[in-house]
Amino acid sequence: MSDSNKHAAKEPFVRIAKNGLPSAKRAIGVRAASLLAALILCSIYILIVGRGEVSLGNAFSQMWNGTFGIPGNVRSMRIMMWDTAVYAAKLLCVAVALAPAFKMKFWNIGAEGQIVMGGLATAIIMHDFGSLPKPLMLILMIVVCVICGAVWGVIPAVFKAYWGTNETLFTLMMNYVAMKIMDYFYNMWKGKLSALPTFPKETWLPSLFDHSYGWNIVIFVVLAILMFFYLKKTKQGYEIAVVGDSANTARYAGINVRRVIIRTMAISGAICGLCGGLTVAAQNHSIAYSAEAVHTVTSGYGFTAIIVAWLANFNTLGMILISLLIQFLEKGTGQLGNSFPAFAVGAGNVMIGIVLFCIIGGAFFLNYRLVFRSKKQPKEKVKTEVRDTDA
Amino acid sequence: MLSTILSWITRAILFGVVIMFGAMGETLTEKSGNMNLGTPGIMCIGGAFGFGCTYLYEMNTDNPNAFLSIAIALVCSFVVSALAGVLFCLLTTTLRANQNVTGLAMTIFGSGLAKFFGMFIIPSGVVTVKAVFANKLFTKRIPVELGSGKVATVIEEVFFGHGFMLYVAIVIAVAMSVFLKRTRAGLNLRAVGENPATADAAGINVNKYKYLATSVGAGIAGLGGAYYILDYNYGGWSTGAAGGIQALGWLAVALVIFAIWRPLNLIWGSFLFGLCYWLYNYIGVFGVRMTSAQSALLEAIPYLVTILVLIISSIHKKRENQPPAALGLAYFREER
Amino acid sequence: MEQTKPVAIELRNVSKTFGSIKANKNVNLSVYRGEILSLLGENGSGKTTLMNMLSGIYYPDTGEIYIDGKAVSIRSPKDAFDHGIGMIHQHFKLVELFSAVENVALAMDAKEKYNLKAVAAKMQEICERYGFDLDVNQKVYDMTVSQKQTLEIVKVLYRGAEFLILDEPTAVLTPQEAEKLFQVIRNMRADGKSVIIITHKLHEVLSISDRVAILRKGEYIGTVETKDATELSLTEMMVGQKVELNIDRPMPVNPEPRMVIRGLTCKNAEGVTVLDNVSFTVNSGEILGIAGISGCGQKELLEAIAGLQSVEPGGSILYYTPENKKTTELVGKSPRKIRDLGVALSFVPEDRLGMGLVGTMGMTENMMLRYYNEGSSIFTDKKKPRNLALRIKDELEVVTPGVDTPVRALSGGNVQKVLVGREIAASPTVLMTAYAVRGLDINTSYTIYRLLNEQKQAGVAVIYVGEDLDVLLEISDRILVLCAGKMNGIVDARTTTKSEVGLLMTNLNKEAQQHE
Repeated sequence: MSDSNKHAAKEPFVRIAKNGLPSAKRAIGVRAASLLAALILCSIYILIVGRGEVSLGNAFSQMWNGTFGIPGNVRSMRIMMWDTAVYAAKLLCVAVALAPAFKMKFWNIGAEGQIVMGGLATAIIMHDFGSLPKPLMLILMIVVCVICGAVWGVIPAVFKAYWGTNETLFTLMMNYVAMKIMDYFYNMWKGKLSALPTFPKETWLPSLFDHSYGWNIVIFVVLAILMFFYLKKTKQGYEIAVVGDSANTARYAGINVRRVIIRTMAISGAICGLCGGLTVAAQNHSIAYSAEAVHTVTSGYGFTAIIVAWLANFNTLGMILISLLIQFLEKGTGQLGNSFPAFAVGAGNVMIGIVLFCIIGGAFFLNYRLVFRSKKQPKEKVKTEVRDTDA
Repeated sequence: MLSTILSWITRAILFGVVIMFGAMGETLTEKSGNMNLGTPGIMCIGGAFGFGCTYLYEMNTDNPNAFLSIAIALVCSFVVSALAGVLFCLLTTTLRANQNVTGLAMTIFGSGLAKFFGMFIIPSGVVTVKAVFANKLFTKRIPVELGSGKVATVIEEVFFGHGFMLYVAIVIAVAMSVFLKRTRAGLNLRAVGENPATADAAGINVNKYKYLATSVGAGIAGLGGAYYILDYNYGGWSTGAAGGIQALGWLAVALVIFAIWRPLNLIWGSFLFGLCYWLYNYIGVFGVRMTSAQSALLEAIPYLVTILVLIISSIHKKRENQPPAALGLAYFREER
Repeated sequence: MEQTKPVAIELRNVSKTFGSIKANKNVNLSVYRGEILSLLGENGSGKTTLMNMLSGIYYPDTGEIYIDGKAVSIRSPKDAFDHGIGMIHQHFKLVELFSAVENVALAMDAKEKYNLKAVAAKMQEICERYGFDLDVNQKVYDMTVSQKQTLEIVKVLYRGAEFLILDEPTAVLTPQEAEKLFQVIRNMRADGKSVIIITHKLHEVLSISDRVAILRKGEYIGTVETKDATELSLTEMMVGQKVELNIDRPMPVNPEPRMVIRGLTCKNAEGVTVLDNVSFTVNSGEILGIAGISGCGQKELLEAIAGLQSVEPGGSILYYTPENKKTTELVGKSPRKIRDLGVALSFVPEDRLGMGLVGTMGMTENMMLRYYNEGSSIFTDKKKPRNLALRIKDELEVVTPGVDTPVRALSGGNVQKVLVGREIAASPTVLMTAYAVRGLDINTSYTIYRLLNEQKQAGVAVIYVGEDLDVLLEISDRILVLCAGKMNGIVDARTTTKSEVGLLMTNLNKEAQQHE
């Protein structure tokens, strides 16, 4: 406030003013502009890297083919789309798991570790209890991965709730502890072999739609829908929203803030754990060394999902779109790399980075606008009226 | 026995220098209130460009000049990393984006850019290339001869058996400590990270400090990447090396917490982390036998210790040991 | 003698408007060199705004400022410093983690050589000259409020301030600390500095200042020599003639006790007693006004009743259920527990968006804040709150694009309507309101008064914490006056006078003073 007055006399060329609530039209416009900027930057990048030998049309059609299959080729489309679907569903699932924590303004960047713990717990069942009756074993697999993920999420939550321990740093560290524990089991099981063989087929999750990971897609999508309703329609979801807005209001409303923090992180961790468990049981059928780039339990989605959840503003529908966009970039650039060696390594992440930066930076224009000198600002007045009761 | 311990210490120091650079950069950044989780990615960028430029130089020159080779590596690494820091600051400070989200995106982007750039400059079909000349320069020991006694050997190995970057790192750490404690700019920077509103009221340009600290911090972290390739990794670049840098980058972020945001603690802290990291290889020194599987658990020690430090300092609530009070929060004057 | 002192600062016709609120209207004020001037006025009379224009926080809409006879333009705190003006705000601008000397160095001129030892030496010198008691190496987080204030003053003096403005400096101090501060201020006057003290404590005004300037509702009333003033004359100037507001005040019907409070004592987070042994009864069918300078324990009193503030042992809050006179002890119970016990308590807190409402939610979801937990279903019922939101929107004429628009987007008056509407809809037995009309326009204020009176006539016990004495005198049946956390008396609002309440607010009465 003091600022706007100060600048009234000596106004700089451009200054930043807070917008009211962005209208739906503005929100769509800003997002579209961000994506357009990303498209232009990526095109420039492709042209430079391709040294003129790769045309844009060719490059983008390769990316399309790598994600959704060659148009008209049913077999290729089927393979590609299923593969895209399972990864997109997994990314969606992790983003969905993070949504309640973020909505509560609890920075859970420990999804990676929670996924790993869930996956490891399931792997232990598959490795050591394969002889149990299958239904019992399947139930056990699911139960332990949920519990382990939840525990991994609750530990930092307890310290946050009681002592205010910085949860961002805590959950971040928990990731690596989890990975090292998994490495321990991996090395132990692998023994002198060059790689860990997949677990026996009897321990796998049953196939669905002719894909061993069929159930994963179904469960992840169902979880996303459930979470949507949990946050929107349940009392617990409501409590999360209140705590996230203001702990003081929550206390006023008689909400036990500590309990909500711990409970919410248990849920967040549990879903991450389930995601890890299902990935091991139905998709990877194995675990991998944490430093390996391929076939890891998490695929690095514990981190990527943070960006997905944040950009979608906890909106499940938005998460689906952003998950698909990231899959398009990941798989598309993979295909691009197969076709053109110049794009073989790293190009995918560069393009994902460009797109993310554009969307992240663009979000600024949702909440703020630039005011150029010598323009009248009639809106300013409304703001002061509301704000200045303390003057 | 002695030689085993010496080799352990040497490796720990070598390892420690990588994360010391990363942690010094992150410390400087966090002192301004910016938490840059893009540090692992930025270290990758520093590694790729530091290696890449000096590699191109020595490949395209008949008689490469030692000074130029080092200068090219360090300057390129620093500048490109600093630019990544500027990008981070542009998004978080000027465009007020969330720091965690921006940082993680930066790590994705940085590791991608590093891998891509590394592959872009090396001949196609080759997996690993070496910057042989630069590697020789970076690993060159300080020529100190203290005789042949046991004590002399120990001193020689522990204090002088390393490339020059170790000493650069220590000098930077000491300088940073002096800067933060004893200079006006350091005082102002700490005020920005603790209470930007007060700093602003005192006439300090908050954004200027955030930009400078974040970009210089990113540059210093980037040097860690260059050191990783040109010394620690014997001058060899591969796509896997970028992954290695990234893993160490997260350890650098942990080290900042372990050192409770004090540059001098980073020196011994980084070596301690190095000892922990290599413990599995040398655990026999203590008469303990360990399978290779169990060694993975030893690697978790630095992270566990860091968590412990975090917990203890939050329960103790000693003010000096807390993260900068405004860490992770964007500052806008309007909301005063 | 004072007349011979030269005029140092002069404000001419200074006005400042925020939105529709005129904070200052054509204020004229002179400050002499080497004097202590008190700036006296009620809360919201525009004292702080006026001084903020001298210290560069605000820029006047109209009017001029002269320093030593020359017109100046003060656009930033730095400009103010260049003119030798330094202000000590109520909220200290210190870095907690820094030592005293580091905080002073932060404000240092960039051209000066950076040498903490030299800074410390100069600080010592200032401390000795004026009699400050300050450890220059102490960390701010270890300091008491009084020490922090001292540091702020030293900081300003270090930068060479000739004019010091202190915004309610004694509000946070014990009487002993305040006396020490006054001694220092007198030393500064002796050194030729001018000191302006913003305050509303009459005895302090009389004991410290040379002259008193009085503001009322943003307007300059006049300046008097302290030696010619009495508490009564100053109070009359400060509160002014009683303004007729024509607020209805029906007679209470069959008042019965609804809440009996005995020996309530509360401490804040720093362990300072903010509410001291308060006892009173709240009756049905009446409005109990609570008057007092802000920060005298009003917030803690209401929050203690609502279960949000812990109470020192010995205190008691007994709630009488209207139907069967069954009593319930509220002390030591959480808000949830209090509600579960069937205590029909409604609370309109001072911080509307930070405590009473969820800013990012719409009206519907804000209605749920009270009811969401009812019933055994795990799902929330949105129908009932939605209907309630629609009803409140209609009845109270809330201006909003829709009941799902986040309430933080609404204007202050509409936000308050939502909050008050919800709390009244809960059909309370006891309704507590804190500064219910602060920042609202006249029409909305009258809507609120009407609503409170309706509640009173329905037999609700209403507690009205207010700051405008005119309103308190017209709407309340009884007025409880708090002063520095102590109860300074309960008066009959129908027979008391504005100056009587004003004196009770600013002065601990004899009995309480002896008690101390």
